[in-house]
Amino acid sequence: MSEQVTVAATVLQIEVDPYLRDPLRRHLARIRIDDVLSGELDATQVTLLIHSPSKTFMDPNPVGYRYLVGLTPPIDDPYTGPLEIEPADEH
Amino acid sequence: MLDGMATDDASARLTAGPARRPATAGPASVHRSDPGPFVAGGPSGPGGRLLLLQRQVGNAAVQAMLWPPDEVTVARQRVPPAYTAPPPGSPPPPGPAAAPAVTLNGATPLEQAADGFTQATSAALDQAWGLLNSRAMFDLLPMLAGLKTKGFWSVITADATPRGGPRMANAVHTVDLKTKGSPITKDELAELIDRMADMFPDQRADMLRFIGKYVVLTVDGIDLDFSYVAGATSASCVKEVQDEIAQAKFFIKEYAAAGQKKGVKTGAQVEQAVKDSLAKQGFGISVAGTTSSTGAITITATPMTKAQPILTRNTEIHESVHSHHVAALQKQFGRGTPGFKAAFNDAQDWVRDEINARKAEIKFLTKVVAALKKLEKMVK
Repeated sequence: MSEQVTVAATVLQIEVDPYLRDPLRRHLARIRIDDVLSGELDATQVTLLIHSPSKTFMDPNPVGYRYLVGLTPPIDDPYTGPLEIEPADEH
Repeated sequence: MLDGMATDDASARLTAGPARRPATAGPASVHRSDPGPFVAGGPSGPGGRLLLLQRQVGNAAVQAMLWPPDEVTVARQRVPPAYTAPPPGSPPPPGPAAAPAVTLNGATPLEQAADGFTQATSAALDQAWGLLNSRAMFDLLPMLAGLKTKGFWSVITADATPRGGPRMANAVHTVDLKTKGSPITKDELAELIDRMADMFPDQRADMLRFIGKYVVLTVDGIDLDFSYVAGATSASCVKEVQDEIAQAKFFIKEYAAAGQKKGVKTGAQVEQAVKDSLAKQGFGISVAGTTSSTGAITITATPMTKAQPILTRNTEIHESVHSHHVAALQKQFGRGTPGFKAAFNDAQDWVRDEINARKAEIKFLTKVVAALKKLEKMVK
C-alpha cells in the first residue's frame, strides 16, 4: 500500500453527487489542499465522495473550515478511499 | 524625538505632536489612499521622522512602539501594479483575434436581437444569438415570442438547435405552443413533458408557467409540477421514487443488522459491516472515477434526469438529519471533546442516526408519491 498522505485542507463546496453513483455515499466534498504535511500529492484540490458531510467532518456545517485529512493513494477523482479527518482550527 | 513616547498612557504612545490621533477617532485603518497618521508634516515633520526611524531600526522595532500593537501593521504597503499601455504601433497581443465589432441598434435586448436578424451578416447573427443564449429561460421565452411577431421565426427555428442546443430548441417549441392560437392539447403537453425531462427544474417551471400550465404542489422544499409526471414516452417519476423508498427500507434493515453484530463498536465498523453485507448479497457499489493527475479537479457538469431533483432533495433531507444530530452532540459534549468523539463514534448511536435519516427519506418520498399522483390526475 502506498504511503498515506496527510494534508491541511479547507472544505470549499459540498453538493449532492449529481450522478448518485453510490447509494451509501451521495455527497461530493471539494477540498482545497492548503498544505501537504506528509506524503506526496500533486494536487491543489481533491473531491471526496462521502456519505455525509456532517458525519465525515464531525461538524454540522464544514464548508469554509480547515481540517487535517489523511488520504491513502491512489487519490482518484472523486476520492473514495479511506479517510481520516480531524479539525485543524477552532470555529 | 517622539515626545509622546515618554508616557505610559497607552493612547499616547506614538502620537508625536500633530500626528496624534484624536481621542475620538475610530480604530486605525490603512488604505492605499490614506497615508495614515504617521507621515503628517511631510518628510521633515513627525511622520517623516517616524519613517526615517522605521528605515533605521526596522519594522519590528517600530511595531513594538505601537499600542495596541496589532492596530496597525508596520510594513511596506503593497502598491497595485501600474498599467503601462503598449507603445503605439506595437503588434497585437497573441491569441485569437477579436471578433469584428458590430453594433446592434435598439434600446432593449429584443430590439438589438431583432436588429441582428435584420442585418443578417455573420457577425450580426452571432451577436443576436449571443443575446438569446445569454438569457435565462424566463426572459428567453418572451424574447423569442417577440422575435416571432417581428417575422424572424423561420431563421430562428432553423438555427435554434445548431446555435443554442436542446435548451433553445425546447424554448422555441414552447413559444410555438403558446402562440399557436388554440388551447394546448394533452398530447402536446405530454410531448413537452418528454422534452423537459433532462432540463433543470427552474427551466421546466419557466416553460410551464409561460404556457399557463404551471401547477405546483410543494413537498418539503421541492416544487413538483407537471414535468415530473408521465409524458408521451417518458415515464412518471412515481416508480423511481417508490424504488427509492424501497432502498431506504432496505438500508434501515442493513444498518439495524450491522448494529447487532458482535464486535461492532464504532461508526466506522458499522459502515464496514454494511458494505460487507452488501458485497455478500452481490450488490457491488462501483464508483466510476478518473485519476486526477494534475490536481485540476472539476466536478463534471451536472447530468439531469426527470426525477433527479426529487432524489437530490431526498439526499439533502437525509443529510439534514445527520447535521442536526451532530450539532446536538456538539451542544451536549462540546466540539471535539473526548465525550463528543465517544458519543459520535458509538455504534448504536450511529445506527440510530442512520435509521432516522432513512425514515425521514421515506416520509418525504411518500409525500412526493402522493403529490405526483395528484398531478397525474390533473394532466389526464
